Amino acid sequence: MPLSKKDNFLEEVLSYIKFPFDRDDIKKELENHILDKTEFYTEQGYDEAQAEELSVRDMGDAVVIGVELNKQHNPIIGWVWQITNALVFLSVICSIFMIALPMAGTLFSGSGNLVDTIPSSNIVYKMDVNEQVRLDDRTINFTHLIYEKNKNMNIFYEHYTTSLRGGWSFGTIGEIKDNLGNTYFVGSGGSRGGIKNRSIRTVENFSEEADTLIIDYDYYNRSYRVEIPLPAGDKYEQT
Amino acid sequence: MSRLKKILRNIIILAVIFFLYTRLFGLFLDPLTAHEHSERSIHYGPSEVVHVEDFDGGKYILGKYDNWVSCNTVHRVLFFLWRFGNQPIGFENDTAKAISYTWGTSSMVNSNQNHRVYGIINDDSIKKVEITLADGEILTQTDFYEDLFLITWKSSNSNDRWPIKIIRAYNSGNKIIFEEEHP
Repeated sequence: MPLSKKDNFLEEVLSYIKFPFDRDDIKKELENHILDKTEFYTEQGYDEAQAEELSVRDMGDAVVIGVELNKQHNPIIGWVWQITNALVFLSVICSIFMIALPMAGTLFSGSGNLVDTIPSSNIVYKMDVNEQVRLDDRTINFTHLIYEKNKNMNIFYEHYTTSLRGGWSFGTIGEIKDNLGNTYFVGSGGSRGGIKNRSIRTVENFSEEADTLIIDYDYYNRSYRVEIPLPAGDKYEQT
Repeated sequence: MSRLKKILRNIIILAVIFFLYTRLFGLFLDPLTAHEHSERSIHYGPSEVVHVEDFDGGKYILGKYDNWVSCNTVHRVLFFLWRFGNQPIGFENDTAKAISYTWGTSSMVNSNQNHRVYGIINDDSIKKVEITLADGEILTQTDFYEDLFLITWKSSNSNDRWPIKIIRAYNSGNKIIFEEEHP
């Protein structure tokens, strides 16, 4: 079946449009123009075939229109737009899976308080501490101490960096000592959280006679010293 | 919104996401920046970079910081980005020894391991450092980097705990000034 004049016109115009994603929109727009004019001519008393022929004639030269529309719908800009759209879409999807979900996960699963992991029946005393120190762009905040019946001293602290860059995980908080001159081996530890990391270090066989816990960091020309008074001796009070 | 404005908007979004990724995953445009961040994040340095040497997929960065000597590694990722490798922290120079040294191995690349022996020369009369590998191969260095040396090689055997058997240092008369054997 031969194409109508309108279809021929549209086909010729669209053959000049190099950016394929715009062809449908251009076709719809031109069709609407032709339909409006056809309606106008029909109202003037022309039959449908004549009205369409006159409408197409009024549109002008298909080649000129096609070349001009192709300039307006620049294929290079069109492709750059489409490609950047796709990249943005993919990046956002990847960010959701690689950044947002893990971050949300750490916010929820990591928000549990490590202090609560020690059964209250084991606790001799529990202290709130608020000692803050800095190492380069890392802030370390010692938050709690819990002394257990088995002589384990648990040191709780939070740390975060202001650089907001991935980096090495924070290793030692320093040597753990007491006012009696003892230096302790840090037996175990753990941590939770993402941006703000909550951690615990446990010192075994911590002297029950000591009345000050000392955290002494002195590595690679960086140092801090935190001295925390303890409710030692007969002053134990279960919290 | 015009198409050009939409492109500009997309480019800004992509730039922000790229910046976010490089931040969170420790990626850098420059190997020395990766090295500096590696040191800073482990609370060491900044060391003075004395020598940079390429290896498969990365670079060795030989440096000094106060009394420590380090040979950090950085790795190339995604063709043009860098992230830090291992051993940013150096060993402390034992000035009582004619040479103070250590060794390191970086991760497998193409089924090869990249090994390095590096250290500092404390005796100015030393003009050559020589190592004998477990398989008998001898590697030497006579052109030092200030007072530091770095000898690198590849091996496919990842089981050697100490891939060098002997390390020696010689003076200009080829007399042994320092020697140490490893079982």
